[in-house]
Amino acid sequence: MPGRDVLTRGPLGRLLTYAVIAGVLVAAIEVVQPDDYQSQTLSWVAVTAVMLIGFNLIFGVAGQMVFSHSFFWGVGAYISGVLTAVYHWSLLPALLVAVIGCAAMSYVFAGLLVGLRGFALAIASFVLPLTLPKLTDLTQNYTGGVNGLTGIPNPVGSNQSYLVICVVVMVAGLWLTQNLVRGRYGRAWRLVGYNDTMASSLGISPQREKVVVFMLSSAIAAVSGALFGPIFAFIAPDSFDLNAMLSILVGSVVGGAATMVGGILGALLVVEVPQLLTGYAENAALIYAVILLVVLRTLPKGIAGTAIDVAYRYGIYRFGDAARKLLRRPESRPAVSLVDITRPAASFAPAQNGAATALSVENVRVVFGALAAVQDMSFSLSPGQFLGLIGPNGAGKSTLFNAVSGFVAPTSGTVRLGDRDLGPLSVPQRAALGIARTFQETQAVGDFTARDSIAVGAHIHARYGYVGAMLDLPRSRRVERELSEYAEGLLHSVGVGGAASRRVGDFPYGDQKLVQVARALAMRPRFLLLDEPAAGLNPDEVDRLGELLDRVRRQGVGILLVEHNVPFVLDHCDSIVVMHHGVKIAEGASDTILASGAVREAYLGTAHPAPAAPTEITA
Amino acid sequence: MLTNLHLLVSSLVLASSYALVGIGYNLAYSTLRVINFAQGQIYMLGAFIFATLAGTGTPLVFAVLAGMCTGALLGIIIERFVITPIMRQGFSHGNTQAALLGTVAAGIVLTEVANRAWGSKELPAVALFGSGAVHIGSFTVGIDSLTVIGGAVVCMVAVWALLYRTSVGLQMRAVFADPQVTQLQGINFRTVTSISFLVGGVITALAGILVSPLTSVTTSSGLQLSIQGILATLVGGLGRMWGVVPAAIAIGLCQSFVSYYVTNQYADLVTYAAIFVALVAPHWIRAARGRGSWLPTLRRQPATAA
Repeated sequence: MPGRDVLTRGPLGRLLTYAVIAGVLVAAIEVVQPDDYQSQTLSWVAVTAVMLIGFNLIFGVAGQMVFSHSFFWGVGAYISGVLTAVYHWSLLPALLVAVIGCAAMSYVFAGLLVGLRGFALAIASFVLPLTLPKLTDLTQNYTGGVNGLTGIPNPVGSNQSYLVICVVVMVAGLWLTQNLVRGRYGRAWRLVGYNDTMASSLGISPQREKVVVFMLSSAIAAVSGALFGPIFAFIAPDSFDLNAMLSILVGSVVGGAATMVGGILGALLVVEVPQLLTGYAENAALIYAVILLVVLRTLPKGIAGTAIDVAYRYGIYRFGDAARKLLRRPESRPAVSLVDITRPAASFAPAQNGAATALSVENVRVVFGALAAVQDMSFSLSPGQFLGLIGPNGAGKSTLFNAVSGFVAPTSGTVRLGDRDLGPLSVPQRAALGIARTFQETQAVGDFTARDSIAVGAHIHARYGYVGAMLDLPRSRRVERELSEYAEGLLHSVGVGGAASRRVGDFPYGDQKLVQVARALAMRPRFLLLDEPAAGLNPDEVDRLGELLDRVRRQGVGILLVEHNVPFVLDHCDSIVVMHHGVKIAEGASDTILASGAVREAYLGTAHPAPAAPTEITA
Repeated sequence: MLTNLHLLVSSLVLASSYALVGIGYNLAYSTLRVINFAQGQIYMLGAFIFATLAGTGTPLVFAVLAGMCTGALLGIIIERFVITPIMRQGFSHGNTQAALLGTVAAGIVLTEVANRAWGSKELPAVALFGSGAVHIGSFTVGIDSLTVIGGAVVCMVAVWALLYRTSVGLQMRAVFADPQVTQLQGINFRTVTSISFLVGGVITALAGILVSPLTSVTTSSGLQLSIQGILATLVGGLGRMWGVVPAAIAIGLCQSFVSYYVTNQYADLVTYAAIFVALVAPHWIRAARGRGSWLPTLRRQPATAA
């Protein structure tokens, strides 16, 4: 974000900005003095904006398609409505009960669904809005059934004062969620949305994060629902049905699903536009559907998302870079080329490099159906060792690699870290123990800047809590600042230091691969597993990579390298394992491997070893 | 006993419609890997076109053909003008989600258009083979029910024959197995995709023509049909063409028997709950067996071939 450091420098952080925004809006209300009808409409906009911000968190940021948002909105409205209208509670405690109720319900629902992904989650959540009319029917003594619930009291008497409350809540919601989305949680959620495989390889549990975002978005929906009731003193089940869900989707997509401001733009659209159109009631669904189709085809990132893209294309991020340069203390500027990955910023969790344990693979066997991809492989990787794993295509290297990092469960055999059996541990749990991996493909993660790409790698180290993140407390700000410097340092050390604010997707292929290695290094791993990092790199980039890996190895990190670039492996690895048809056919230092007849046979397929120079063995 | 037999027949009628809609889903899903949420509207429009034409005295054969053509046309329109163009756009997270949203929107447009054309009244029932009944002892089964079940079986056999006995079917199965690789093998992916949507549309419209005389269909029941069909597809396994048949039968049985024996008013709720359990239970079981890990899906990543 442009000028982020300028704003976070002050003791109040970004709070000041949002306080000013809220003040201006409230002052505008006082000056304009809207009448009752206008106040109601504007309150409706503000409340809808809060609800859409909640939806954008789960749909736009975390990338989870859920159709249950209108349901939780309705449940929040009904809990609070019944408590205030029937039991005469005041609004605040009723709202709290609604929030807790919705968060609990969504926790149970998400907990049940924890194994579902993609479409299954979307459709399972589709069931919820269908059940709301039945639920109000069952409880019609309290909720009024299909006729709706009337007499929800306005806690402050006048519609104008209530509008002020709604607007303040909207700005507060924007502030809280913006803080959250900018920090470590927002990065983790975006990564889960783009690519949950990569997220889990960085020690982020996609399931856990999805449950958290789902609960948060439902809780926000409950706040919005509780505030919605008093506007018209009336709620009915059809305010929260599938048509309502459709208008939520329209608002979110048109406003810009991945942004928080998009929620406010979307609310203006879904509340104000139908008011401007005559004959709205019977045409609402058709209008929404057509708008949605047109926007999906022409402007899929919505208004706010497209605005951010345009600003990026015209280089707005340079202002942020300039501000950062001005404000940063000279001594904290990152070293130009060398970063000691074992000794990062002060506020990070301690590194785990200390203990000299080895990562050992013992008799691992992986069978897919009738194919034994890996048969009884054993080797061990000690700290500071650089082990190459080579073999012809289909030798089982990647499968073995996946078995070590936890993506494939071995049919038999064990993977150990020191004395600890890694078998029962999931991918994120292994990552948290200090086993990092990269992927063959670059998997550029959408709109991530290079800085964010690295920062998300340090997710498990640069810690602060949800509350700290939301309230933008000094500690979380400090961690973020140090993390940003750390990320820039790592980017320097892979040779793309000047481009920290650029999106990784814009980088040349080789740089993308190097950023991927840097991201894995940001985990400060004990063991680094690299899957063909040199593939597709030009000779200069290969040299940069080799230099970096040698440096990392000297810092005590054990590296396992799967690579087809045999000269690269021969140059850098101190021992090499050769696989063929799932079996280890040779192991040793590079000269041993070069002299091995079995290796020649596997690569060149000849029974009569011809005198060949080492470089001719390139696969 | 007799009651149970009648319930069985009505379950099979329900199952027939779910299974046919489900096969329509799978045909569409297998090519572009997108769920077409407008499938229920194709069902509804097929039924309405058929019943309206039949009501004006058109020979039934032509009315059926018109209904099927509607389905074919809608299938292709949704593929060519909604899903494919949206999938080509950049979206914040995954273009398949945007395409899914697009089909939801397209479904609503179709519902609204039908609403303008036919209003909110219920579709008149037009039986294909009269309204007689077959008596076996004291057990009576209507010809209309038999038509539905028989028609569903014929449709499924036809789809099977298309997939396994024709060259187009072979291409379709190749695309289902791996859309990317087949494009390299000289198969015209776009044509096969359109054919797949076309067949899916025809099957879905036929389901509407066969089943709607027995159930009350209005212009707005498209969405609900979509959801029920999707749920059957999901229980059977998305993309597993025939897995939907046993799933549809199970859901049909659940719906009929629950609404007779347990609760009529909340039969839908019970069915949704049962489907929910059926969807999630395999994950729970896998999680419980997953060597102590509570994160079952992480291990489902296919290993990239070395």
